[in-house]
Amino acid sequence: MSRTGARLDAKKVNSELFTLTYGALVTQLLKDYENVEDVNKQLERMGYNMGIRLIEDFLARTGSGRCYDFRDTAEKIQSGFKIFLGITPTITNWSPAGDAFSLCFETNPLTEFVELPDHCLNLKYCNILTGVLRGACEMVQMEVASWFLQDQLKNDSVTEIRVKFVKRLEDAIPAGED
Amino acid sequence: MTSITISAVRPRTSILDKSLSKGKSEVSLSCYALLFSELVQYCQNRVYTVPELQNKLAEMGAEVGHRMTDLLVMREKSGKREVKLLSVLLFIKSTVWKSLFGREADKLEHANDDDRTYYIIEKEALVNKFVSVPKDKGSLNCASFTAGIVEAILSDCGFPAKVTAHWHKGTTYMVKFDHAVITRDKQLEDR
Amino acid sequence: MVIYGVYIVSKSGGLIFNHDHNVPKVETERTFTYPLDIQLNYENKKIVVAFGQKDGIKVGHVLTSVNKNPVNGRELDDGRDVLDMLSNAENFPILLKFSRSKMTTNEKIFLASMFYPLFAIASQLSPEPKCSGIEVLEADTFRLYCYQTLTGVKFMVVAEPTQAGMDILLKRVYELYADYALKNPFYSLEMPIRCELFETHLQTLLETVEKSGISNV
Repeated sequence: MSRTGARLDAKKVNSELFTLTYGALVTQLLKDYENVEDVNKQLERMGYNMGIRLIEDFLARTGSGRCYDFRDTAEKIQSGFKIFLGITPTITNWSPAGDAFSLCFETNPLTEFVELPDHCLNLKYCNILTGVLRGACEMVQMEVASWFLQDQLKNDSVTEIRVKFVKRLEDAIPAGED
Repeated sequence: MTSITISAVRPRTSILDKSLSKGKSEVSLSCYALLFSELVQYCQNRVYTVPELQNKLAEMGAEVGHRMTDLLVMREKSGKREVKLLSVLLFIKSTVWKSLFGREADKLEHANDDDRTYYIIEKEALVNKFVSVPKDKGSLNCASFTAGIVEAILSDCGFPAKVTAHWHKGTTYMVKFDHAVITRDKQLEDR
Repeated sequence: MVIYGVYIVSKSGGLIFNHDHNVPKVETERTFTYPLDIQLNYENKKIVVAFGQKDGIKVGHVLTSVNKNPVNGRELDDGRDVLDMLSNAENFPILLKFSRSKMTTNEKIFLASMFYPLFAIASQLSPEPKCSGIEVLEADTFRLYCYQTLTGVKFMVVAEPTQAGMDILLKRVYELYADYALKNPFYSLEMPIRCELFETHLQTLLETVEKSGISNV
């Protein structure tokens, strides 16, 4: 088995299978937890677990170096969306201090053909994404906070996730890098 | 099926206005594998035994299966409904498998000693690609998720059956049809 | 072209994986007459050659069998104390087998956890900032390569000094880790890796590299 160049994983899965599997998971969570807020928290936690592992996949495949600048981080997150979800969000709305930006996208494999029923209007259906961002960045010693500003499932025209840099996790930095 | 009301949020375009998805977009296998891993772990935390875990996985697979049936029949077969047993099995082995997993299942076999039982065999189940089952989990096969998908599709097509995943020649899905299905199919043949 | 072994150390410094690939087996079995001309010591629960090296039996080798019976610590299976037997002329001539001692799992875990602070010290010794840490450790009989990921996990391989492509090998092992360990629902981070698929793929990778070099991978 020989590989060339950037060694990006070409193995793909039908996004409908992905959409429906995620849907089955959210449905199950809604059955198991009575409170929609609890489901939101669970989704974020699962996203965190995925994020701490997804980052190693990203690093192993792209051979990416460390980010020393939040704009660098934003670009890497954008390419992560492309590699893993097949969508390219746009990076917009940089804060004046350069410590926060928004990711905007119109299509999202997680929410293909999803409608939120009346009893779940507070459900953050894609909350798994905020967890993934938190987990992935934490593993490279960066604490970020992310939340949804706009949600297509709630009648907005795009979905917008805001990502804010909180701090560098100094004591977790591997030896030699400080 | 319970009914739900969607009145409070009125989206600009209803999802019913969108045209049928072509099913060509993809996500990375890594991303799917991690999602599936979280799903398995979530199920595992809520059950006590291996059979319960397999059942839970199958239930979640059924959710997926129920939503795939109409989509696949509409898109791939222009709405043509299969009425013969072998045809519906071939539909699953080739069309369904190709659509979900990117390639057809490897083999479809009929049991020698039981006319109700058929086997769909694949060397490596997509969902199991990165899964190493520890020894203390016995014969756990996470492809029970896929078995749930198949069972739901068969039931929606009018061929109720029980489908289970086994470690044999890779992964074998044992499909055991209800008696009524076999009887009906035989009558169809005799006509 | 020989690869001796692979080690993976988690970001908290614990050994989470070790695979001994091609550890050369050094064994010598000989019949001895009384009195025994090799000095033996009992240390670390093993009977070890202290002095009197000859015929392939080196200092540090462990006595592993007496007259074809395996030695446990300082006793045979039937409970007889070996050192007592060797001081008694009646038991001679006697057939003794000596081999190079194998590291126990605990010893490996200890060594791996020693490596972690060593790595940190090396980085601090660097005159320039942003040191990469130890990448290669060279001795006359082996080379140890180390690759530290941005997340702090260290992948190490010990190989013959002439074996090429080990730094690329480590990146491939990283990929196998990201696939078969991290995507396994039954593996928790920082725990010892016991994933069958990871082990089989690693084995295949090492064998391929030894036989046909790194460019075929």
